[in-house]
Amino acid sequence: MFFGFNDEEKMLRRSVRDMFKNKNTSEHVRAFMKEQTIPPGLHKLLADQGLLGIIDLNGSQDGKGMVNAILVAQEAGRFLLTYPLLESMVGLAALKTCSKQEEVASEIESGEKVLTVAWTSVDAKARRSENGYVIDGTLREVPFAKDADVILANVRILGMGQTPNEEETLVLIDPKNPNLVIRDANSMDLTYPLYEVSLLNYPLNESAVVNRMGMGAGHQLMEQMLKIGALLLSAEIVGCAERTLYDTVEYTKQRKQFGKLIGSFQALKHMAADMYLKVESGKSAIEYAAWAVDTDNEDADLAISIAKSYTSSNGVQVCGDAIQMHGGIGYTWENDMHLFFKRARRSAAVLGDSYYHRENIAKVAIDGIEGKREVGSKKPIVVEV
Amino acid sequence: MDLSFNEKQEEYRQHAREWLINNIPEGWGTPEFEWPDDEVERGRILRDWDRKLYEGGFAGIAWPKEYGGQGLTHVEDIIFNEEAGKLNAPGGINVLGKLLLGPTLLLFGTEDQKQRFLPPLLRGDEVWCQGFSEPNAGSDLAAIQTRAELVDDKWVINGQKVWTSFAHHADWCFVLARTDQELPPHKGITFFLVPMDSEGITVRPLVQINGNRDFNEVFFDHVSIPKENVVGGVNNGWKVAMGTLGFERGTLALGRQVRFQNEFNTMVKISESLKKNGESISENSYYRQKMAELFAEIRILRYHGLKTISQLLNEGKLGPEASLQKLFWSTMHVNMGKLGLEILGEEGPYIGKESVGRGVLQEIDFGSRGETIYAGTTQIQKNIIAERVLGMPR
Repeated sequence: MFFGFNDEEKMLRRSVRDMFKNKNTSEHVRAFMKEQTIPPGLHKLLADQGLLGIIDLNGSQDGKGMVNAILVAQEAGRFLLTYPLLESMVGLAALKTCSKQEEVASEIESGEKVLTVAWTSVDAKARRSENGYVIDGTLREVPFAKDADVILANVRILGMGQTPNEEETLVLIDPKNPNLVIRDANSMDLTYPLYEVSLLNYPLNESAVVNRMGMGAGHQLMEQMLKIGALLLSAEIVGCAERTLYDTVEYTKQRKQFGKLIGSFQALKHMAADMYLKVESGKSAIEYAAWAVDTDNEDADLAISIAKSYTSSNGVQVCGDAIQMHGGIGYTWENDMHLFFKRARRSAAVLGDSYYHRENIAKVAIDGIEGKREVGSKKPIVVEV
Repeated sequence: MDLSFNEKQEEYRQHAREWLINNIPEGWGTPEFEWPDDEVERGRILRDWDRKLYEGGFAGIAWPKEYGGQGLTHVEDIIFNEEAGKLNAPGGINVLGKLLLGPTLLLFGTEDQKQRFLPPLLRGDEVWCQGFSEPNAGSDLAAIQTRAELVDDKWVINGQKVWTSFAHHADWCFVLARTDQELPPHKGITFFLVPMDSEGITVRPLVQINGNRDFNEVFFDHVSIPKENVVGGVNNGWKVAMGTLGFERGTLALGRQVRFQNEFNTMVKISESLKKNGESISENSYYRQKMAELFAEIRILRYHGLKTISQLLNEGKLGPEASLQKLFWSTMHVNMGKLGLEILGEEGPYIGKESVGRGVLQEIDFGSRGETIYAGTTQIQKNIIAERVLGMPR
């Protein structure tokens, strides 16, 4: 029984934190917000540190790498990393399940190519053409598409299954192809731009298919990606929230009003304590979920929904409270608090919002509780947890 | 990260569970269980349970064998508490003795004190109560005014304690009293062991908002006790009192969590039986969302509990971060009470035997209001977190 991190995990956290502290500073983030282009060298740096391919869905006896992945994702949130690291981690994990895609996977992992994921598809469908298949439709929620070399997308290949779900197939899209248009979707979060990709007669070669066409394979893999993606986003939210908490506490130790440090006022202390409670609870939730995923615990899906719903509601609250505790300065564009707030807001909204994940929880907690007891029964309740 | 128990620990769990199933009287801990109205009779039932626990080998699980304990570790203690929680087994009547006095004596007591007091405590022969809070010293515990003076080789105690749980059943009381008026508040306090049948002690019951009468006012009028009934040295009582607060409580974390889980399941059951706008409450999106949110927090409480235990096992002590746990569960329980009453809707006012759920949700609503106050109020916990964990200025 040990709920904590071993020395290796702590070392990983430390080295990633130090790296982002130097290479992804507030100035870098601000520059990115203007140019919307991944700073040169950043993805080589991430690749050299071995962070991109940190998840292995097939796993080994040491798990799937989720505990490491949440530590990295937290640091990405803490420093507003302007790179689709989450998509790289999750996308690479998916690509590595397919032996045909070894080459592109290694190009991504080594930093030669930037990978992103199209998280939703608006009716993107592939149909047969003379030379194979063509895709029409729109992919939404594609972070950093403008800078990507490969987009991993989930499209339906018509006729490749009995149901729309079964037809779903993971494919690699080339953003440089002339048969697609990339449009900035104007996300509120300028540190993590979202794009929309419209495909018209986009030629799909069979070599771009991950694993196999349809027959439920794509759907299953995408579901898995969405789940671990939701967990990593929860970790990013926790990273944002923790950073704003400690920056805010630091600020209250320097700012004076009424001749006193504002941190000595109980009203602010109690706000900070509430923020701490939410941050620590979020941490416990993602850590437990990562362990559950790593060990194939039957609790894993539930734990992910707990983590995502809790952090989506409470992480955003913490970042908002950080603005409040900073007072007027916190409401200015120059202050970084709003960047964390917006990043947390965006993260809370995607890959299942609080509502979605609470409904998942309800299916277990309300519809499927074990040991339900008739009111009026004299038998003690026995609940398996 | 390894959140599992090993095979031997799982065997202990099985053993504990079997014993509990065979020994808990039917219906105990469920809302249908009927308590006798007579307070003496209630005390007897609880004391019998303490005796049963002792005979079954489940008292003082992590205490040394030489003092009547089982000589096992905190892990077994935690496992037993979790299993007891699942079955809603009561805590017994000697909660304060087991949680606070025992560990205090083990850490600060003399050999004579350990041998004299620990075995009868575990056997259920001597029940303890805690004489800390006073009318003018609640959150500000160091402001106590009860005083003890050494007169002819005896300590003579004068003053008043309040919110003293189980004082009306207790044989002994551990008391904080001021022994030096000149020293700063924290430094002039001594920790005493006082027999409750001493001349000059008056116990007056206080009734709580849920109608229970667990606690009391206790008056000390020239109560004389032997000189050696001091723990940890004269004027060292603050250190002694603080030394064990929160220590053993860590082992209760999982037990409490499963009790909340049981309550949640009862709430679900009630929500299924009630309808609003023609649909069962458990099918209504608003209530599903609220219940799911609560369920998530109950689970997170478990994660916090596992972390606390892990800290206890690996570092041997708990830091100020433990305040988080108290803040989290007590606040969550208040929210559970609120949600319960929301689910009951117009059934909310009725708490009798014929009412929906027999008043069990109302009991959460009322009972939880005490939990955000005792053992350090929510506001004190937040101060501790802000000052000692986050380092905000005093």
